[in-house]
Amino acid sequence: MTKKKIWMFSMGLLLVVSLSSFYWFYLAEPAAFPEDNQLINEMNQIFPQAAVEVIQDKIHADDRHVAVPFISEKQMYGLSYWTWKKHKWQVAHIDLGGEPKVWKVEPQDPSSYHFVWNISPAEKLSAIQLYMLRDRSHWMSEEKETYEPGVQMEWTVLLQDQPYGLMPLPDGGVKVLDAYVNVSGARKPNLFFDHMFPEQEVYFSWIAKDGSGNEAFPTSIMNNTSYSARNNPVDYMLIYSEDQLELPDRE
Amino acid sequence: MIETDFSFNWIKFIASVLSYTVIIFIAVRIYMKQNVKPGLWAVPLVWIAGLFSFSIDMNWFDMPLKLAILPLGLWILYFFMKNKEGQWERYRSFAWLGFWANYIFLAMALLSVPFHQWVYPKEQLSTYITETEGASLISIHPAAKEGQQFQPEKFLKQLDVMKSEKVMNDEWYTRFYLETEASKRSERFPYFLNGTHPKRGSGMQPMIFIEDDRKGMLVTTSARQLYFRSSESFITGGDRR
Repeated sequence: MTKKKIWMFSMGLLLVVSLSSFYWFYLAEPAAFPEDNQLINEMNQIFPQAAVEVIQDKIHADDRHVAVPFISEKQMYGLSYWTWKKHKWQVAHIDLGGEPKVWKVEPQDPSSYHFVWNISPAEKLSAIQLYMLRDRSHWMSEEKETYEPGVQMEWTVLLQDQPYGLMPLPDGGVKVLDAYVNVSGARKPNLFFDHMFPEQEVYFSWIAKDGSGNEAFPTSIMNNTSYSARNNPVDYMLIYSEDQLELPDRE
Repeated sequence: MIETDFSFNWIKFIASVLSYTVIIFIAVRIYMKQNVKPGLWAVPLVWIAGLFSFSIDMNWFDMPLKLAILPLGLWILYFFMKNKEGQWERYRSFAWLGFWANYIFLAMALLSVPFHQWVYPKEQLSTYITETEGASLISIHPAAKEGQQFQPEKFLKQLDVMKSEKVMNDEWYTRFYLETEASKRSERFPYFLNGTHPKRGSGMQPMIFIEDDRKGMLVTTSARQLYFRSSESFITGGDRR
């Protein structure tokens, strides 16, 4: 009888412990986001090259994801990406180039994608143009023919209003990307392919504009010095030139 | 609610309900016939183990199929049960039922193909679009014109008379590709039609693009692509880009 009681008791205890630790690590509400000096210390510790001096802002993508634009001792404009994970605010990525990137907060959910940037004022840029692209393709076989339309969606950010920022992928882009995910997701019902992102045929790029609205190539902010935790959720965007765009009304 | 989930595949659902009905029926028959009864709780477990097999994946009419070849689960069960007096004999039929269940599922899947084609004809536009309430156009390319509005009423009038055509043609290819330099190239389907729904229960999630002359519709699903032409436009709006 006592043996049975001990057994019951330990099972109950195990259940309580596992439920509460599951709650603690996965469900509990995030703690307040750390203070500036705490952020600076942590970043300089994991990634000394960052040499962070000033925190410019803390921008919430949602209650568990925060982007932190900063300025380094060498006047580099960078960004760090923080995630509330396992009951702790953790750095997912730090980079010292402030050129636009895509933060895929939940890689499988396009509505969680954000454009992020922190452009140094030394570059004297007036705007950045952000693009979602997909290459046109067409092929024919004996009985089948397929045409995939080319996608070139554009969004403009005026840097005068927002020298640094976080912008959710606009609704139109989310809808189109969602549809691509659904179509190719249905194509591969195999469990083993679930970790491949079928929407990868869609890519992002950007164009810089200087003070007089001409195309610019700000090489200094395209700095590849970066730190990444595992599963880096931040995607680089290739810089484009106007020539690469398709503009039917050109000239 | 099943009714409102457009990606739910009704035919697939009915096929699996039928498969399980057949399997349970056979299992009950075997159980009744057997003189030495097996443990009732163990029957489903043995059945599931029997299901496990080495199989070959195939595609038949855009449908993924599994052809079970080697009864691996059955062998493992035999290995564990052979030493206990009479145990294997009691469970053997259920383990085999597990293996043959692979073929019951396969048969039902094959039977559902013509049925699926009958309820959701592949070549009809109405299979891919039935509900258009709240549908709207999203421009995906600078070739799109401003302020274009999709007109569901006009479209629904055209729905049954729109003709399926080949999407490729030389005239278009010459005009878009050969005679236009890359940097001035336009997109033939610059609009994405968002918010439409396919016929209920087909399990499809088609992607729909609209042609720049606003009379053509390109429908892409995971399995195929179709192109439909209408004699009248179902989109209103100016010609300014």
